[in-house]
Amino acid sequence: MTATTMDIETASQPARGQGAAGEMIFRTLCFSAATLLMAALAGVVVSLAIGGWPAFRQFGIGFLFSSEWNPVTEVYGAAGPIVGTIVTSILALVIALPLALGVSVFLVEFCPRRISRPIAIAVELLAGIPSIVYGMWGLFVLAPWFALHIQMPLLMDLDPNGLLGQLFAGIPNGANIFTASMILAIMILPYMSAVFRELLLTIPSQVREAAYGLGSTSFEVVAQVMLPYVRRGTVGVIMLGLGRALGETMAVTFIIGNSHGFPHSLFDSGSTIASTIANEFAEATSDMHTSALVALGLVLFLLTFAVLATARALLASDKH
Amino acid sequence: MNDVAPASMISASTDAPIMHVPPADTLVLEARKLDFFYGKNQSLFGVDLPIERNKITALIGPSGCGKSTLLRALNKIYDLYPGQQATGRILLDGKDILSDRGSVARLRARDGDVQIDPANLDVSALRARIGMVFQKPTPFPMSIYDNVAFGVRLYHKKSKAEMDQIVERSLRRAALWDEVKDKLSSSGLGLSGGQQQRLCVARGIAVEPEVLLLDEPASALDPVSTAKLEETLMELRNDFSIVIVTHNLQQAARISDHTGFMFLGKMIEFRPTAELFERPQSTRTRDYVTGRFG
Repeated sequence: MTATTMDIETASQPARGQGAAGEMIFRTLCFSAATLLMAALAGVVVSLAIGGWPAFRQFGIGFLFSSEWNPVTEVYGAAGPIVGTIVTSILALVIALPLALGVSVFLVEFCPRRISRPIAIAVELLAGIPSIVYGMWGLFVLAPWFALHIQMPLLMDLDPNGLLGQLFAGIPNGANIFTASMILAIMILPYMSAVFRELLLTIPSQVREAAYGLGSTSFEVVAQVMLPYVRRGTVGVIMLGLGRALGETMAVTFIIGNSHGFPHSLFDSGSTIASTIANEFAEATSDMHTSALVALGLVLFLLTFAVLATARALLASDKH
Repeated sequence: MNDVAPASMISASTDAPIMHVPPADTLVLEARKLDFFYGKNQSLFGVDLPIERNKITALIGPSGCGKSTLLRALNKIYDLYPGQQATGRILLDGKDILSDRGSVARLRARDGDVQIDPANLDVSALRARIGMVFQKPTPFPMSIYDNVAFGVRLYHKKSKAEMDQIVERSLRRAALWDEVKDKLSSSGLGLSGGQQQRLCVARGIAVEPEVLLLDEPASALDPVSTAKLEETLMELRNDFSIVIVTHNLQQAARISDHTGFMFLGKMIEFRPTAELFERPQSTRTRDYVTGRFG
C-alpha cells in the first residue's frame, strides 16, 4: 500500500514540478494585483499629505476649526466645508433611513413575490444613475419648486426673529443645505434599501414563523423581532449611506449654493468639502490655495475611510 | 412533492385509513378530510387527525410524507405564504378555524383573555392558542426573560411582578429555570442548542396555548438534551395537548399516547401508540415501524 503511494508520487513528480512553477507564477500575479492596489492607496494618502502639508503647517490645527476661507487674503480655514459636509450627510440620512426601511420591509415582508423582484431590481438600478443627472434635476426642477412653494411661504409667514424663522431663514432660491440633503437622500436611498433588503433576507424563515406563531401581527414581527435581529447590520447600512453621502460631489455642487463659512440656517447656502474642491481647483492660482484644497481632500479621505471602516466592522459582526 | 405522483399507483393508498378515534368529547383539535396544496401540488389527501386533550400525539412517517405540512396547517402558519392553501375542516374545540380567511377583525383584547369568535376569526389570536416549536431553535434576538415574555406581552398587560412569575413558571415547566435563573437578562442566542430549544418551549407555553405543536424538536439536539426535552414534554402533558412530529420511532414510542403513521400525504394508521407499534394493522405501517423502509 505504502509502496504504491510512493510509486505514484515519484511518477507524477515531473508533472508536479511544472504545476508548481505555474502555481508560483499564479500566486505572484495575484499577490502583485493585491499589493498594487494597496500601494496605490498608500500613494494617494502620502501625496495628499505632502500636498496639503504647507496648509497644515501655515494654519496648524486652526485649519480644521476656522471658518474663514479667503483666497484673496490667503487665509484658509476648512470648518465651513467640514460642517457643511457633516450636516448635509446626516440630514440626508435622517430623510433616507425611514424610507429605506419602509422600502425594504415592504419588499421582504408584504410585497407579493411576483412583483417584489422587479421592484428590488428597479430600486438597485436607481443607484446607478450618474450623480450629475440628479444634480441637474435638483437645480432645474427641485430648487425652483422648493423656493416657490416651501421657502417663500415660510419666509412670508414666519417671524424672522423667532426660532423657526431663524431656522428657515435664507435667500429663497432653493439652493441651500436642505435641498442638497434632499438630493443626497434620493441618491443614497436605493443603495441603502438594497443592502437593507439583503440583511432582512438573512433572517431564518423559522424565526419569522415563530414570531407569527405566538400570535404577533406583521408590525410586531417586523418591529420586535426582525429589526432587532439585524440591529448591528442596520448600523452598518447607516454608515455605508453616510460614507456615500460624505463624498458625493457633483449633485451637491449644483444645488448647495457654494458659499463659504458656516451655514446659519437650514435654508442657508453652504458648501461641502467635495463641492469646494470641485469649484475651486481649476481657479486655484496660488500654491497655498492649492495646498489648502489638497488638505481638504485628505480630511475628506480620512472622514470617509473612518466611516466605511466602521461600517465594515459592524456588518462583519452581524453574521448569523 | 415529487412523491405525490406515484400515490395513485400504490394499492395501500386506496385503502381506507385505519383510524382509532378517541371519544369526541376528549378532543381539543381535530383535522377532518384535510387537503393541502403548495400551489398546484397537492401534498395532503383527505387527512383525518384527532388530537386528544392532555395527551401526546406523535406523527411518524418517511420524509416528505406530509407530517410537517399537517402541523403547519393546524395553526395556519402556511397562511403567511401566498399559494399555499388547505381545504377541509380543522376544528378547535368543535369550531371550524379553516373556513375563515382570518385577519378580518382584530379580536385581541390587550387586557383580557383571547377570545375567538368563529364568525370573524383572527389568525393572530388563533396562533396564540396553538403554539409551535420548530426543528431548529428559534430564540429571538433579545434577553432570555424577554423571549419568554414576548408572547404574553402581545396579549396582556402584566405588572412586573406578574410577568416575573409567568417567566419563572414557564422556564420551570420547560425545565430550564435552574440553568438560566442567574442570567435572565443575557441574550437567548447565547444558550446551547438544547437550552435554546427548551427556551422556545418556555416561550410557547408562556401564553398558555391549548395545543403545542412540535416539529422534530429534537432532531438538532444531542442525546442528553433530547432526553431532557422528552422529560419536559411528559411533564407538560398535564397542562397542554401536544402534537409532535418525529423521525425517531423510539421517541414516538417512548413519549406518545397516540401515534399517526403517514405516507405520501395520507394518514395510513392512527391508533394508541402501544397498539400501533406492537400490532400494526396496515402492512405499510408494519414495514415502517419494523424498519423495512423509510
